[in-house]
Amino acid sequence: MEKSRPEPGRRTALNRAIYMAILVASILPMGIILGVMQVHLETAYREVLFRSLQEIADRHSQKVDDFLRERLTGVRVLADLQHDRLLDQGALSAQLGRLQSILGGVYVDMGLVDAKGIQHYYAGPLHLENIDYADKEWFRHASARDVFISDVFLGVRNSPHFIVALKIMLRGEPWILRSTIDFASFVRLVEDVRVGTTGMASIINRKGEFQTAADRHHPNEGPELAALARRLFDTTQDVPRPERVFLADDTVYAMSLLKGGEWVLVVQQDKAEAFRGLDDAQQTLRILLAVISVGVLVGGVLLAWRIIDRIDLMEMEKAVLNSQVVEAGKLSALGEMAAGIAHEINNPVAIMMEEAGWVEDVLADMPPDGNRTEIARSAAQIRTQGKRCRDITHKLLSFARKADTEMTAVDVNAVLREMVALCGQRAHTANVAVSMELAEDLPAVVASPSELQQVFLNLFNNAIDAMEGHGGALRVGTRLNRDGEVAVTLADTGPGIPEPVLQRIYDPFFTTKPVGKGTGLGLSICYGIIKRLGGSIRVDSMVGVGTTFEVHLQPHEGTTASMRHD
Amino acid sequence: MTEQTPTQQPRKVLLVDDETGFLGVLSRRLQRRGFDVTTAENGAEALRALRGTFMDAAVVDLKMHDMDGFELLRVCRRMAPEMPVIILTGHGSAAEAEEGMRLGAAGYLLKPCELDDLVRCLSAVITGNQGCSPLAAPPTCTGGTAPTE
Repeated sequence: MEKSRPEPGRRTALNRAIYMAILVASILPMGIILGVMQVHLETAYREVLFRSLQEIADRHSQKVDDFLRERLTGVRVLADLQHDRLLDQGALSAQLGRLQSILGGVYVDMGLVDAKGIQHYYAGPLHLENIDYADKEWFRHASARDVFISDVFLGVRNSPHFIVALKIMLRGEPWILRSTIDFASFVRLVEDVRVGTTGMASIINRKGEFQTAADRHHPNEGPELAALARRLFDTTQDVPRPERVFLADDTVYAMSLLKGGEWVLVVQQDKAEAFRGLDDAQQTLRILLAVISVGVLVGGVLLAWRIIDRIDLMEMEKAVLNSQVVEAGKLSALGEMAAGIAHEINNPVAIMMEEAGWVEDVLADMPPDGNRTEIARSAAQIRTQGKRCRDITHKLLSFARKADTEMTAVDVNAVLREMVALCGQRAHTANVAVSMELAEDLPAVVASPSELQQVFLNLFNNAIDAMEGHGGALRVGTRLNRDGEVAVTLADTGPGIPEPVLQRIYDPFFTTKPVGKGTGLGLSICYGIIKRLGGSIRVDSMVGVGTTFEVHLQPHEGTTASMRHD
Repeated sequence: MTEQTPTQQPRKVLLVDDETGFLGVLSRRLQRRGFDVTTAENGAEALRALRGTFMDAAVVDLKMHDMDGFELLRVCRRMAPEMPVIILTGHGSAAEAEEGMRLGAAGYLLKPCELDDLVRCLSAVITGNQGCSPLAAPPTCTGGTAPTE
C-alpha cells in the first residue's frame, strides 16, 4: 500500500505556525488584560495606602501641634493676667496650683528666670530655686526668641517632658517664664498609633533625635529618618510639593511637619505588611492567569491537534484523489492507444478479407474439383477469422471511445450486454460461464455511459480474476426493486471474500492481487462513481461459496429504457 | 460467373482510400461484378478523376492520412452533386455516420465490410438514389457466412 507523504519540511513549519498562532492568539489578549489590571490595581492600592498613612500622620501631628499651642497659650494667658505679681514665690505657686487644678498635672512646674539665667522663682515638685541655666541650651534658645518650646527630654519619673518658655517684661526687666510640661499622655498617643502589626509612629527633631519612643528605635534610625525627612525641611521655592509619603528600604514612611517645622511626625510600616493586600490580590491574579493559561494551552493544543489532523486527512484524501486522477489518466491513455491500434489493424484485416473474397471470386470461375473445394474452404476460413478480428476491434473501440461524461439516460441492460461481450473471450478462457437475466422494461438511469461501463467492467474483471484458477459461474441480473430503484446483481462462485478484507475493499490502494496486477483503485473508483450518481453499492460474500455485488441506481423519472447509449 | 446485365453500361465507381492494397483487391472484386472502377489514393487524385470522368458513385474511406474524408465528401458534393457518395467508416460510431449523412453522403458502411453489402449499397444509390439499408439502424456489418456461388 503506497501512500504519498507530504513533504515533511513544509508540514512541520505549517504545524508549528498553527500551534503558535492559536496559543498566541489565546494567551496574549488575556495576558494583556491581566497585566493592565495588575498595574491599575497596584496604582490604586498604593494611592489608598499612602493616603491613609498620610492621614494618620497628619491627624496625629495636628493633635500634637494643638497641644503645644494650648500649653503655650496657657502660660501666655497666665503671664498676661498676672504680670508683675508673678515675681513672688507664693504667687507663682498659687498660679501653678490653679492651673493644675484645672488641667491636671500637665503643667509640672513653673519658674521665672532672669536675663542672666538664674531662676529666682520656682514653683513645683523639685527644688530648682536659684539654679543657673546660663549655660543651658534651652536658655540660649529662649533668650533669643520670644517663645520657645524645647525638645523632649526625660524628666521626673523618667517621663517625657518639654519646656515652654516665654519672654516677658516684668518691672521693666526681661524675664523668662518657663514651665515644664508633661508630654507623657501625648507621647503615649503617638506611641499607641498602630498600623497593622509593624506600623508605628514617632516624632523626631531635625537632628534626628527621637522625641517619642526612643527606646523602640535603633539609635541610627533617627538620623536616617532625619535624612529622609530632609526633603520636607528644604522648603526652597523651586522644589515642588515634596512627597510626604514614600518608600525607602522596605518601609513605607508618611511624614508630617509640626512645631513650626522643627519636628517631624513619622508614621512607618513595613512594606511587606502594608502591601500585603495588594500582594494577595496580585497573587490571586497570577494564579488565575496561570490556571486560565493552562486551560487555554490545553484547549489550544487540542484545537491545533484537531486542525492538523484534519489537514493530514485532507492531504491524504488529496493524495488519493491525485492517484485516482493519474490512474484514470493512464487508463484513458491506454484506451486511446488501444483505439489507435484497433484502427490500424482494421485496414490490413479489411484487405485480408477482401483478398480472401477475391480468391473465392476467382475460384468461382474455375471448374469444381477437390483442390478448388479445399482452397475455397481455406479462403472462407480466412474471412471468418478476419471477421473475428473485426469483432474484437469493434468491441475494443466501442469501449475505448472518448469518455463521454455527459449525463444522459442510459439503458443499463445494453451496457451490461456490451461489457459481457467485451469480456466474453476472457471469461471463456478462465472457464467462467456467464449468464444474464435482464429484466425487460427496465427504466433508464441518469448516468454517464462511459462511467457505468467502467463500473461494470471493473466488477466483471474482478469476478473473472477471482475464478481464474478453477472456473465458475457469473450471473448477471437486473430488476426493478421494491424501492423503485434499478438493481444490478453480479453473483460469482469464486472463493469469496473474508470478513476483514471485506471491510476494506473500497479503500483506495487496497488490493489482494499480487504486485503489478492491480492498482487497488478499481473498487474505490467504482464506489465513487456510484455514490456520485446517487446510487449505492453493496457486497455480500461467503468464503468458499462466492461473492455477490449489488448496485442500486436511481431511475430516470418517467422513462423506460430509451436507447441512447454511446 | 460475372454479374452483369448485358443491356447495362458498366457502372462507374470511384474508390478513394489511402491503402493501396485495399484499393487493389476491392477494385478487382467490383470489376468482376461488373463495375467500372477508378481508384484514387488521395484527395488530389480523386478530384482529378472526378474532373475527368462522370462517375455513377463514389466510395470514400473517412479515415485517410492526408485528407479528411469529410472534407473530400464536401468537395464531391460541391463538384458533382448528382453523384452519390458512400462513406466507409472504421469504428461504428453513430456520430460519424450522422455527420456524413448530414454532409450529404448517400449511405455509409462499416469497414471492413462484406462485398455483397457494398454491391447492394452501390446498386441502391446509383439506380434509385435511395439510401443504403444500413442507414436505418446503427451500422453493423452483417457478418456471417462467406458468399457462396
